[in-house]
Amino acid sequence: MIEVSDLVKRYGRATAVDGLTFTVRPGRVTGFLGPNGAGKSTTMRLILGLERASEGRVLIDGRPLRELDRPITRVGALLDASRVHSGRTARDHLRVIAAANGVGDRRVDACLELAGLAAVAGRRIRGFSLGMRQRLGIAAALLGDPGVLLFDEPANGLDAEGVQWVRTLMRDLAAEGRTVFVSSHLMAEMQNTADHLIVIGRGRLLADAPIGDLMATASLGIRVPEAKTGTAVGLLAQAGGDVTVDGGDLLVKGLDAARAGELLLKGGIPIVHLAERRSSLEEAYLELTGEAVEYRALEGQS
Amino acid sequence: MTDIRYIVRSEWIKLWSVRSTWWCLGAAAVVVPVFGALAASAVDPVEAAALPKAWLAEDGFDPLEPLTAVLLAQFVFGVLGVLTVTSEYSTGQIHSSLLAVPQRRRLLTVKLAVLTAVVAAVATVLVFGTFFLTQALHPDGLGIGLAEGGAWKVLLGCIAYLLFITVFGFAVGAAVRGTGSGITLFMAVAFLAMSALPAVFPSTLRDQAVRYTFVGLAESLTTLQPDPRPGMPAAALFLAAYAALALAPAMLLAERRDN
Repeated sequence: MIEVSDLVKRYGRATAVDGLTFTVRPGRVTGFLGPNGAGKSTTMRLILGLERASEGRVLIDGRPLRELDRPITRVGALLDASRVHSGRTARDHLRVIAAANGVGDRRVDACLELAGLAAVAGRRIRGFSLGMRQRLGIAAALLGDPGVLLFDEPANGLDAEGVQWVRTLMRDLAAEGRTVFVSSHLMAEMQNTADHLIVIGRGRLLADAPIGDLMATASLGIRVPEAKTGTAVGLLAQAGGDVTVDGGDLLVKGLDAARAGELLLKGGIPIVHLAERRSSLEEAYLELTGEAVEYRALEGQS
Repeated sequence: MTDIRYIVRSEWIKLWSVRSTWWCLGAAAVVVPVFGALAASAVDPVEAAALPKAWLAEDGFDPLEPLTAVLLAQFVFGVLGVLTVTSEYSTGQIHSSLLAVPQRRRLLTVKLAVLTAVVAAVATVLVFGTFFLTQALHPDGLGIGLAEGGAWKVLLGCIAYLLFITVFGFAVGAAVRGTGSGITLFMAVAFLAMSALPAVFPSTLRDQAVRYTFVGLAESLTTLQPDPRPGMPAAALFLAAYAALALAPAMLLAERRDN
């Protein structure tokens, strides 16, 4: 379990992480979603103690990271797979990390095998493709057989088969009861992997909910005769709907289909078309981060 | 807290699993005996025989002179010191290391200790090996034994100086963290700044100041010639102070800097 409370990270006057509080629970894959620059990687580095928090704290299994005995047996991480000494062989790279916490060479070889790197274990990392480095980073994260795992954009540089492999691996790790925290800026990746989502924008928490809840944010597409549009909008808005008009098409949020239909019927407005639009996760995400992104753009202009 | 034995093991693997270590130590293993042998074989037997041995008179023949080849190797030891830290920071490898050992000062200290132990062992073999090699090369009757005139003290002095310059390189590397900037700064301080330093003193003190530069102190440690320079223990203390001073910023800021 990862517990983040009131986490703040400032660089000079810029605030990268702005008061984040959330808990990542075991037994499921938690997606960490946000547009590029939202503060995902910074948050992960703060969780891992690689940067000092300006405020707030992080607990891993109830304790600060620094107090953990043999930390890699509790928490493993893949941050930036290019951050390795490329002059070492894959096996030596893992041995260095393993040895620091008393993990033996047998486990190193098992992890190389698991990551599909056994054949290139003796080669220098310099010659590795991005995908191979990514696999090596995942092998490193698994060395200590930790209960808590963090992956920062693990699908980066992987081919289709690799992406599938990572997805299955993460699902398996969560199924074994581990805490799996995976960041991405791509919704699509999360849709098939995560059980729970934590969404941030501009360093702030935007959503912390089961993926189903976020996907269920429904909207209605309603078409009425153009002459009746005004009346329809009035009726729906009065009932608490959030209505956007585009010609005769209305996009309604905050009302379900039955209620909207009833209202229009009572108002004597013929309904040309009414469809329930389950907003896809992608739309939900854009909806959630829209404001945050816009604000960034405005800030950039000024 | 991470067990120190684990960190030692990790640092040991880390040191030997990169080529730069082998290159630096390999270069030293060639430079020291080869230049020592060259210096020893350049001695003119007739001329040398006419001169008193070094520790008896100031302008005598110094049978330990070939050991100055050790000072040629200070370069590679310093660079090794720099690289031992910067290769970890500049590549980003440090992230993996710090996750396993969140106690940064402890990590840095063990890293330094492992490097120092390795350099001490290598330097001992090199210095003693070169001594025996060069004494064998000296013309008949001019070679000396380890005990003669306290020659062994000079050998220990050579080893101590190589250790110092390694630690100094390490300190510079730990402070700046970049390989390019680390090597540049190391060279700039150890060679440029140290030769320029005496110039800031008034002319009456200049000769005195030269003796407290790295090279000046190295000379004190590696010769038995009587001179107004600081003695061996004093020189060793000065170098230890320089090393401590150089290590201070990296050690003091270790827990506060981001990585």
